Amino acid sequence: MSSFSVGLNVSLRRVQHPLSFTGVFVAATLAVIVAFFERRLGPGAADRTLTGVTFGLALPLASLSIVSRTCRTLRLDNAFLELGRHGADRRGLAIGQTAAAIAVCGAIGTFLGVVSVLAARGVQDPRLLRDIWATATIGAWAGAAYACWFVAASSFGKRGVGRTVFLVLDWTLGSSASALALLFPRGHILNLLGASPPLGLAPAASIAILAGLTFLVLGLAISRIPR
Amino acid sequence: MTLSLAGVSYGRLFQFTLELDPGLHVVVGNVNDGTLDLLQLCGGDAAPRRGRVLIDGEAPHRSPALRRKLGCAYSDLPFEEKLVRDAVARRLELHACNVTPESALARFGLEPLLTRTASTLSEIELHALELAIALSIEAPKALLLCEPLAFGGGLDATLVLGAIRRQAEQSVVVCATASPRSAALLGPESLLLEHGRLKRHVLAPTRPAFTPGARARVRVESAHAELIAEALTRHPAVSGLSWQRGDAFLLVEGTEVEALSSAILSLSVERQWWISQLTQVLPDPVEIRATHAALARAAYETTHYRLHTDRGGLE
Repeated sequence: MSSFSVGLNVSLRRVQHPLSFTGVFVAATLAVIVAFFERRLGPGAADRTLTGVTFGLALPLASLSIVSRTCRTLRLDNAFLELGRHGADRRGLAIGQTAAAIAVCGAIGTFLGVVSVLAARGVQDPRLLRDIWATATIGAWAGAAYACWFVAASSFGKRGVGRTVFLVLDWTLGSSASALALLFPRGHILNLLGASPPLGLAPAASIAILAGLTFLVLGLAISRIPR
Repeated sequence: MTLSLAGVSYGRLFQFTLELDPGLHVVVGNVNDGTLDLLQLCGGDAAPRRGRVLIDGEAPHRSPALRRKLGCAYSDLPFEEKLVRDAVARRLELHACNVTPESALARFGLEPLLTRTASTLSEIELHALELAIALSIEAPKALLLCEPLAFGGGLDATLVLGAIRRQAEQSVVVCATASPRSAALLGPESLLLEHGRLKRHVLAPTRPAFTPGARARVRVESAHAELIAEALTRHPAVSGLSWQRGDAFLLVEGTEVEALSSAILSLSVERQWWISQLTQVLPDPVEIRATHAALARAAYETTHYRLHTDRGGLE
């Protein structure tokens, strides 16, 4: 049994907790309620809901909670202390953990995106299917990116407090149109959703920068873990 | 195969140096003295802030292959699998053990735990399982055990002691305990750890060895405690005795444990006063620490006084 599969298996088991499901349900309910209100305000409800509550608030919080749970609210290098003691490769375990977090957060991103679009557009809207497909894709990428960044941030601070610091920085700096927004997933996700891009970047460039940065920080974080 | 720590600083250990060859090594001290830090470093849980930890030439925190050959039972963390059987099987598989969970635990009479869910295990049962897993590793390079005789869950102390001693023939076995009594049961030699430093290497775990200056003390349980007490008061090996009316035991003190035991046993055989239990009374870690603090203070005061008088003489 490889360390990767052990890390994946154990992380998925850690996520299977009633609080995780409750958190996702609350996030989806919040997104749907906001989408209904936005719909009453007039056209552009889907955009406002997705850039506001869904991918701005609910997805980062849900991803933070999932990654915290996979880390058992500890630092990344201590998340699998017991299995590492029995001879599992701690880097392999962390990669497995990241894979589990990517899968779960990606699925949550897709789900939140789809329910938000459904609620904001209504089933009668002719552009519904196309918008659902586009939002589901962006949601999956956004969830996966947040999972990687939170895993990487978990390797900083006592009990992985870097996760929370990263969330605050993402909220404050990621939503600006300055160059600093390039360093955070939020700016790129907003760009993909059609909001004002940081430094006028094209969506394709945002995808490339986001993917590159995500792999870089994740690689650095995992290389910091002793084998 | 050796386990070596060279100038290690981590947790409560400060510039700690130790080299252990295969055999059973008992470290007496509690968590505040750094026993857990010592085991965590040797088990590869963490890297030292300073210095080097090597087992058979490899650093345990960098080598998963080495950790697979280490048996660890300390600061037991709860299993995350649903069933105990799955948890034990996974750990035995990680250690590349060719035994089934049933046969590994049957050696110690722990197989009833296999059908339980992991969340229902008590700390003592968890510790017993970790011990059983550690002792099931084939030809381990080192075994790192904390309180190996403090368990319940149906584990037999004799079996555990036997297994530890068998493994100690070829591997480095480090047993940390806060109980001098457990240390005495585990082996004849002990290392006293105090505030992150090795204070003393005790060759025989007796009261005078642990706390220099103290007399040996033996507890005798017998239906004839009163008669034994009366007879021992006149024995030359006995320097103190404590017995209260109605008690079925007495405490006997003397300079040497052997002389005391011999005196008690001779009396028992001679007068046919059968003894149900004869145990050595060992000091607790607080008493050991207090004695060493007093000795250190006395040494300091003596040196200070000598220096002072020498200077006075020169002037």
